[in-house]
Amino acid sequence: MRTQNHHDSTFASLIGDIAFDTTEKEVGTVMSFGDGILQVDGLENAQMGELIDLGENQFGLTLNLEKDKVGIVALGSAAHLEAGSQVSRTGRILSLNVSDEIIGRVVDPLGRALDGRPEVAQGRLMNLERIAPGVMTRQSVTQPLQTGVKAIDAMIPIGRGQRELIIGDRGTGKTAIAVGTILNQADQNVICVYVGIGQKRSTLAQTRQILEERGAMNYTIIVSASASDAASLQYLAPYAGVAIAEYFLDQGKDVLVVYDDLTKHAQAYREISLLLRRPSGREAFPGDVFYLHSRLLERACRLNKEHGGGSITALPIIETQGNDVSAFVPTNVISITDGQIYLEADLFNAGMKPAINVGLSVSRVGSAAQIKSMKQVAGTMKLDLAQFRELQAFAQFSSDLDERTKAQLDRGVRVNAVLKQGWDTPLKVEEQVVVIFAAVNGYLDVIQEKYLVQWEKEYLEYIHGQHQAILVSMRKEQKMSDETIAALKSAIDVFNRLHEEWMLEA
Amino acid sequence: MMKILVTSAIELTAAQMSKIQKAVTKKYGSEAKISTVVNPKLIGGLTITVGSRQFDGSLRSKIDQIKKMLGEGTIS
Repeated sequence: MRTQNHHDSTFASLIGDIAFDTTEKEVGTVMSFGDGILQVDGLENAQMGELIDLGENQFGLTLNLEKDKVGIVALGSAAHLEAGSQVSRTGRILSLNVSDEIIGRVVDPLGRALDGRPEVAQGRLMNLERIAPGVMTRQSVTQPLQTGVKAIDAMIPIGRGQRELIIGDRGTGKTAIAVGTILNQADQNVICVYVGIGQKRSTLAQTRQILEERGAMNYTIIVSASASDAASLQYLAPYAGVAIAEYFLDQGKDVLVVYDDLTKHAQAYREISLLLRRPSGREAFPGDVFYLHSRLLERACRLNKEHGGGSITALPIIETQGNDVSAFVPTNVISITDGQIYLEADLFNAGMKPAINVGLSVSRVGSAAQIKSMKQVAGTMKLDLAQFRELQAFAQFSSDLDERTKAQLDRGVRVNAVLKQGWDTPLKVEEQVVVIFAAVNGYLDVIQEKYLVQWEKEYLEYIHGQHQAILVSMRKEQKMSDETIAALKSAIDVFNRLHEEWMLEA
Repeated sequence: MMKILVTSAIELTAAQMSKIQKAVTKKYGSEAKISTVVNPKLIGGLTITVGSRQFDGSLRSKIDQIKKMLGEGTIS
């Protein structure tokens, strides 16, 4: 009985709080509605990019303002609308509600919950479109963003605040690298936003499950506009993702945003532009498809101390057709980002996973974003691998090789093999350093090729078990002192002697 | 010439209409022309639409406000 009274009084006070004034709103009448585009009469003061209330908790976005009508894109099916229906302005420029409770949630580009849990608690309204931070508010990129992938952290290092493109054909492991990077941020104090654009819901469910199982949802937000969602929602999804990231950026935090993928994003925008009858250009894309991506990716930044010191790192994904990186959208995004990770189907099929083409991949931030210990071991690795690849092509045609060339080939094979990695087994940077140290300093030269994978696995277990001090000192000092190097050398010698059965016939 | 649409839940009496006419003339001048529509969906009250501005005094919108508040409102 007491609870009943309590409820009654709270309801009474709630209702008492409501102001029953006559509301004023601006309305318009739907003249035509087809293919998700409404032409509306009225709405004289509607602003560009404003949210329009279509009724039944559905919204539209003004994209065309003309003298006597407004072109609105429906954000959803809006199946209840018909000619003559009334729609009204919300007065709100396209924005979504973000608060600290959004971490761990799956939301749509308007911030509405998709995971069956209650709506995200009230926080700040973040605009989806925002002017990127200016030149004077930024700082250069110096802190590493550890992906946990040896090939990337050693030779194509990514820094916090950088934009690095992951580009390749379908099925080459682009999403795997991105998700692997998210998994590796568990102890890195980085909040992750995964934006799924035009993806299959089954794929997204799988991704979400993996993130949940590995505890990554404790620091990750998923924004989803899947393949069956309206093109307008797919168009907005990346901007929603970066808007959420900016909420945390304003708190001085580091954020990682993955856009999977921007090819489908450009296609959704092309669809909307063609329906709005905007002039089309190359590959039927509208004239501003470059601006579509440049304004999105420019919002990734590293802010200086006066502005909070936070950063947004962007990992956009582009899918190429037949390895064609000179197609329209890929060249656009390559010119915007600070480097690319190029994945090749040939490498993937040959068993090289991750299928990164180290020669064509580049990071324009480079070693400025590497810790000293990694720089010490990986310094010449890229050059060595490039020489190895040249030799490989040469060696196919000549069977008579001198000792030195043969040795270089063998070393190259081993260094290459060390770069192979499971997509869901990220390595901490200390672990990467000790493995690469062994490879580039010739400790693998005596091991047979077929045992290399096993060698690495047991070697890491051995270092963790017997020589934890080496890893701890590297983590603390961020570099390898002479004592650490000496200790590591003797540790590897001991380990190799323990596994004579893997060695080459003497 | 200003076109004004008055939508009410039930048929308005002559007295109510003249009241509305007076208020409209006061605000928009005698050039205003009023047309009326009956829409039971409003439940009660009326809405006045001037161009694209709509003044919503219907019972329906007040009930919608309560619905929204109870749905999203926090109970402290």
